[in-house]
Amino acid sequence: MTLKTTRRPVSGYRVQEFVNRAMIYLTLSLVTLIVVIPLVWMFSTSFKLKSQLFTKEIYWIPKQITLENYEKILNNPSTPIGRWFMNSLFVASVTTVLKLVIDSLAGYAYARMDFPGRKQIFGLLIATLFLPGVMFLVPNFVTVAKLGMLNKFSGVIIPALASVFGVYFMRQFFESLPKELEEAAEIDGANRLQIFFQIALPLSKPALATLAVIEFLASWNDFLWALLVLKDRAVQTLQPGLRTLQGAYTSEYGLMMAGAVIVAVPVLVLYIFLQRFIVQSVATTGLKG
Amino acid sequence: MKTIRFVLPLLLILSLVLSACGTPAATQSPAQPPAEQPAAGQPASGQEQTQSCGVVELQYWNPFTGPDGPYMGEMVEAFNASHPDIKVTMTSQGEYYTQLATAAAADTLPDVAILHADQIATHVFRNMLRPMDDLVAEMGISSSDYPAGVWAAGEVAGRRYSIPLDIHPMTMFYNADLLKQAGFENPPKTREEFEKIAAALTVGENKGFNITGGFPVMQIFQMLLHQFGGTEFSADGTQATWNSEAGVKALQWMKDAQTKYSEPNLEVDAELNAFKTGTVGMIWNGIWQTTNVTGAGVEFNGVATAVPQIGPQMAVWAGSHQFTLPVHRTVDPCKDRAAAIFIKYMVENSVTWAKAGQIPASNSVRASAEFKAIQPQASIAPSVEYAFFPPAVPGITDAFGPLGEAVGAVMNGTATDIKAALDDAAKRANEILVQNKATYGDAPKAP
Amino acid sequence: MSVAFARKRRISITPYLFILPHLIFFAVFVGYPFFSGLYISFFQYDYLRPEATVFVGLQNYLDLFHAGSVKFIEFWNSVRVTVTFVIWSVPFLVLIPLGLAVLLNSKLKGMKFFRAVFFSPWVLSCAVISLIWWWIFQSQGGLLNYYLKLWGFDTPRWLSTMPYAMISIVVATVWWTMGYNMVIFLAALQDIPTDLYEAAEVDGANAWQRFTRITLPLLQPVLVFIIITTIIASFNLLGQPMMMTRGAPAQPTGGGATEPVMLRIFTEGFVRPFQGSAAAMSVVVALMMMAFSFVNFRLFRQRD
Repeated sequence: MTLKTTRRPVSGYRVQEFVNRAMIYLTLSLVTLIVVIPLVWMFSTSFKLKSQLFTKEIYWIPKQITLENYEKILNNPSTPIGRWFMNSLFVASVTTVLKLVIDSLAGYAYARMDFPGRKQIFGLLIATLFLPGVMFLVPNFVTVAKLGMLNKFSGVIIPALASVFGVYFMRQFFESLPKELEEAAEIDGANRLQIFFQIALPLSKPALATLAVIEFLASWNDFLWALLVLKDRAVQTLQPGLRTLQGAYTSEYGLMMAGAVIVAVPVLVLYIFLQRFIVQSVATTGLKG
Repeated sequence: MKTIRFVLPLLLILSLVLSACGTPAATQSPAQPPAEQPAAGQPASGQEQTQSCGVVELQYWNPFTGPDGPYMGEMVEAFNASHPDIKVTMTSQGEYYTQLATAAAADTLPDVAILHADQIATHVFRNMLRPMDDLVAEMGISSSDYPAGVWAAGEVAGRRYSIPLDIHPMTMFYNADLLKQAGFENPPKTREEFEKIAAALTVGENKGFNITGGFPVMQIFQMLLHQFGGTEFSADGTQATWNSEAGVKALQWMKDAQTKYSEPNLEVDAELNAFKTGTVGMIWNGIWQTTNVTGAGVEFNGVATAVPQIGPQMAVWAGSHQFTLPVHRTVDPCKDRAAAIFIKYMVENSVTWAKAGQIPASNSVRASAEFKAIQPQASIAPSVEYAFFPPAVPGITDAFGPLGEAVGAVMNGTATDIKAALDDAAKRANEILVQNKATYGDAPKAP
Repeated sequence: MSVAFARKRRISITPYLFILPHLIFFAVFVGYPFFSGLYISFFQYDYLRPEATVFVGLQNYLDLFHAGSVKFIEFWNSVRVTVTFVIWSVPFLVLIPLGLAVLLNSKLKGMKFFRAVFFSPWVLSCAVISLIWWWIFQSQGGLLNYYLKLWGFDTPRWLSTMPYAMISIVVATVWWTMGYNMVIFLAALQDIPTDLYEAAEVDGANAWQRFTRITLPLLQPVLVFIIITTIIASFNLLGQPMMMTRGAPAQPTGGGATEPVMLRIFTEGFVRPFQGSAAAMSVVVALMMMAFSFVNFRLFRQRD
């Protein structure tokens, strides 16, 4: 069922091929619609007056385009969206950088070094992926409180460094690299640290970039933990902030959609620019599974 | 902002959890904000008492993240302006009770916090609130200034833990245009009037009275249960009693009303949203929905008024925001004194808060001319005389979970035997009450 | 000799230095809470009332297996909801992405565009996508029912009746995450050498035969990976129902028809003060997840 086009010069095949292509494009266009419509609806709703949300007829383009929803959100002192945006940006960036360092070191060791306990420790890491996330909430909250990290960005950044995904990802990548270069360097007398920094790391730029994108998104989209740890309005991030908005406005869907737009647009823009890159990166996570 | 306490424990959760996600926007609601500061009572003793303390800083938390927040903020600013020795910093939080619990674990609770009436006992038993009997006496606030039920909600194991700020009752919203077209000038006050109008307005695509199967359907049931002479729990809070004859009558009436006048199986807020399209005559929801479905919120003449009396006696479901003093490892008398001055000021100026869409809990404020000029709050205010509150025992909101499930199941048609559904829910609630008793014990830890 | 010794020593310590930074955080924020969770599952425990801590042995576990009790009903109802979600969602989350990947693998023009579009919802947060779909499924003012009505179809109450509430959650989830699996499939498909297909074609194999005899077998490792990760992800369902249905519709026997087990655990431990019992539930669910994944591994291995 590979739909590769054939080149046989028989006209029957040509018709068949044309029909095939038409069907493919039709299907894909249909799916495109399904993917895009909800997003368009979100944008459309966010520009509607609240009295026009529940009308007997649906308007894709608001009868009267209003910025009221956005103004209300941006002017409400209990929802300092600009501040939250910067907080999210800071937390996600720092988390990402730290994870890249820590996870590439660990991933390299699990992929390339032979040491007692390697398999067991790595197996243990993987096993924790099967544990339900909620079971860590209470104990970790208490830990963070004891370490004095409540209401501080460190309270969201540091626990995130424990995640196993990045280590697994980097290990998969390093395993896929040919060993020859490193072996040659070892014969030349380079130590493991030199090999790692001078040979392995430069080769893994694409993987690091990929991991950076995934971790940035994960951090940006984190909700529950950020909500528990960051309480002061001044240190909150966007996702819990969005929740505050939603809690505040009963069935004011226009306002909620405006909030959603504000939260979604940065990642969508990021995605549009880095799209090829993000998609490529995700693709590589599964290959070695 | 209404209550996070409703229906299923689920709702609670919901509003709390949000794991990666979550946003039961509809479980919360805005009340409205006040604009100006009539100087009501002067805390005469205030300035002197705090003198030896220098400038006292107070952290004040509340769940008013909606449009009411800025108004509460203005009240706080007015307080700060008139009290140079006290500086109150207000924070409005979403996911409020999760925030409080987690703050308690880290000993970072605020100095003053707003709690809903039915949450007070639970928070007392979880070591999060301090008794304030002495301060209350000092403030000169007394039970006689409050409806008995709302005052009693703040008394746990014989001690006082809160001062009521407001009462937010179940309210009826009606489409005055539709009523007028059908020849009705006034909203219904009695069962007969209500049924007559609801029937008259149920024509074609229009519905006379929409009732949801989600929040606040359990609160509507509670209200009718009381109207028919029943209660949810025994007075000591050890037994669920909603499976009485009154309970069956109440739920049967709701089911019949749904069949006759409402669209079936509506989800949370769907009755409000349908009302906003202008095709629904009447709905019942919290007073906090006032701005949402009246005035500029709709393109017709939406009006808020007191709920009618369906059963043989009047009763109105209501929630209440109350001031509390959270626990701290070290108690600072200066802060307590300042907190007392602050709370007294806020209560005495609660006529301003009334403009935010709430009914002041204080009798004297409700009796003031200023309050009586505020509509529709003033016309709904008599309702609060009939407000009832659950027994002040810890974990009582958990025990409402099965009731919410039973009422929701009946209204959504997944249960048809009303008595059996209520019986079964009562049985489960009793089990939860036993669990609560076992874990909370009889009295909170000594302060 | 000293050289050899030094070299040996270096080999033995360096790897640990490499993994140490991560391992420290892992130990503190994954390892410790795991054991502390296991530990408190044997207690009646509320972190706000340490004075009320009582050792109860296996009671928290026994409660979950005491048929007819509230805890039993609520817990197993929520497990059933989660398993239902897994069964309903995983096939779509595997087959739809696989189908799309096969289509995108036809080397026609514009495939990169479609790939980019299909993947895009994945970058949004759960809060955002749940909000969007909640609004679409609304019975009043909702987009879906508006058009269903316009075209003369039934208009179910998507968020408050069964099975529609579950369907809504599945639809939102598939829309949100299908791009992720699709991209992984696509990469795997692109790794399959085209000459295999050409050879098969010469042998007269039709498209379906080429798919089942070449594509599927070569895709198998990726397929296993995707199935397992998708099952785990679906098991962790929490945000979408919380925000879209809030567990509704309520069931007369107790629990919500779309209340997943993660929500139940959160309620038990955060809304109610039963952290010990919540920990016991977590352990039971973790065991179930591991068993589920193990069975899957075995199943797919055997087919090899």
